[in-house]
Amino acid sequence: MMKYQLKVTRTIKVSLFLLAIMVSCLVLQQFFLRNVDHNSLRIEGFYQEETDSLDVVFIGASDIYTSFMPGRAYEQYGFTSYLLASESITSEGIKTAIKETVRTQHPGMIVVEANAFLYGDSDNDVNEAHIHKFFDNLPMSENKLDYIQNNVPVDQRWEYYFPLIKYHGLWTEYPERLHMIASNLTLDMRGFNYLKGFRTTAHVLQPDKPCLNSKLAEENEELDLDPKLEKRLMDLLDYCDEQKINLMFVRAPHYVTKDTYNRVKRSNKMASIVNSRGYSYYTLENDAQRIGIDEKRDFYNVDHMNVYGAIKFTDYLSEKILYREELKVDPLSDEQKENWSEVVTATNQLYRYCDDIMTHTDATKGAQEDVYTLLKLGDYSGAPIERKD
Amino acid sequence: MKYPNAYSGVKKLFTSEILNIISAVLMFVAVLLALLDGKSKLPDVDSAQFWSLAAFVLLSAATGIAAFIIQIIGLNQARRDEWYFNKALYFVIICMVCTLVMTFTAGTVNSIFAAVDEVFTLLVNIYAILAIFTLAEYLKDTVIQKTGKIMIVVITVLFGIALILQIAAGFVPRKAEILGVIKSGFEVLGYIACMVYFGMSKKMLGQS
Repeated sequence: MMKYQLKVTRTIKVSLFLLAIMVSCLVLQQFFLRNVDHNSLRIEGFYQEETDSLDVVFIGASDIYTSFMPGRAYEQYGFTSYLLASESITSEGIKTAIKETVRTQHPGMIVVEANAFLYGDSDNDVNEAHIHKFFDNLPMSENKLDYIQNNVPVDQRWEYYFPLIKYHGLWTEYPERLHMIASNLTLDMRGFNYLKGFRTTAHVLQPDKPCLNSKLAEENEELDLDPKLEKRLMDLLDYCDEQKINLMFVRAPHYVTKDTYNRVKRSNKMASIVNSRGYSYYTLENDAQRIGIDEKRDFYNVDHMNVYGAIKFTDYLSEKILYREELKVDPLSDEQKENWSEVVTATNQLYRYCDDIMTHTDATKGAQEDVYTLLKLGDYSGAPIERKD
Repeated sequence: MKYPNAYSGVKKLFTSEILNIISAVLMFVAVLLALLDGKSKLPDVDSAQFWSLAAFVLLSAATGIAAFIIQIIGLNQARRDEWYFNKALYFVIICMVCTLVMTFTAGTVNSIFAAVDEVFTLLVNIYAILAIFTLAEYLKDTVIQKTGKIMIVVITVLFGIALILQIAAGFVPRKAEILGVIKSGFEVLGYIACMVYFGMSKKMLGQS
């Protein structure tokens, strides 16, 4: 008499068991057995932004997420932005990031930092670590599937579908990983990112090579891009033409030495290509001195500016975006304004925190959206930063 | 009456399903109003539209909470006569925990608990139907037994589709509101199916 009930309850028990395994794997993959770093926090934070709430999305590598401060741009110029960027992002990663931006936001402008196309060869585009740093943090979508199917060798695809397969061994790295796990959890529960992807290091570069930035304003020579990277740039421009995307390119300032001088020439070449297709390209690396970038103070290494440089770059580029590119800024609701007010406060606190370290200590400290850094920010004022230059 | 506790309990489950339907319809109207306005953001606090939307949302929440409380009382009563109601009560408590976690979280944690809540809502209803099925076996009511089997399949399909739509909304953020509305539609159909079955069972138990 009880056969039917037994059949149903057994089916339910088996289904619940399978569901429990699935949910456990999902939770482990999302929070605990996952390579959580600043890239993860930045990219996840992007997907927490309200749909169609960003005026500008910046896409690129560390050059942009260490240079542009969205909190400063909002405070001084009134537009909202986010840094959808990943360490050494590949050229295909740039295209996927643009597609994801179009899928989730309708920004008035997308700004691409040129770094991914300026390497001397296309090795970065097949660097597994750099690919994983970006793609592992994207939610599953048609764009992600498209990338995996067109670019990842067949024997590696399951690692991209289920990163748990690649990172299941990370449990051996506890308890060191705990603070980033905690940062990920708190970001998830808070529902928004305080720094909108900005990351910096509190350090002033002590260079051992002379800086050639003073020569760059006059540098017009061009060097060809790597053929594969140039083809990907063309594909990207074709895609943006098709989708009628308001796209702009920028090259952030660097501490240019003899070793990296060819990159400047490739940037000039890229500017010619991009301009010929009707898009703007701001060679702010060449304009570093005009922006006021001080090579003795504003870099923390040869490739990245510290907060002193970032604030100048942010102000300069924001003016270009707002006035020269005539960005149309959408109004915000009261709740969004409140949210951005917290972003502005956190950004100003971060500036003062880094300034304190660089002025009073010899320490080199990374500063990003993690629980340690956010806790320390409470000791600093969130009032607007007055530039002394 | 052979099973007075089950009868009392099922009467309350019937009421609870009606309140669930009202709550879902009120929320459906609120979302529809917001969508028809063409904006994806909430209107400003000082606008009349905000307050009319808020009224629908508050009423929906109030009826939802009332449905939940009546459901717990009903299951607590009915479990004295049939063991499967006990299981249903445990699942209701899990649903309550899931709802609390969802209220205070965002992002992936919220999505996971929303999906778990959907699954356990289905299980509450399946176990309630199984309990009534068992009582119908004892009372030799073959109509209620047959209908019970059909209802289990029907609500599994309806809530299953609702779960899929909920997961799909995460992949298509621009269509999340529309998918949410369609999902609510399937949930309402599930509540109607349960309500019809509890109504029939109420009669059976009343006449026993």
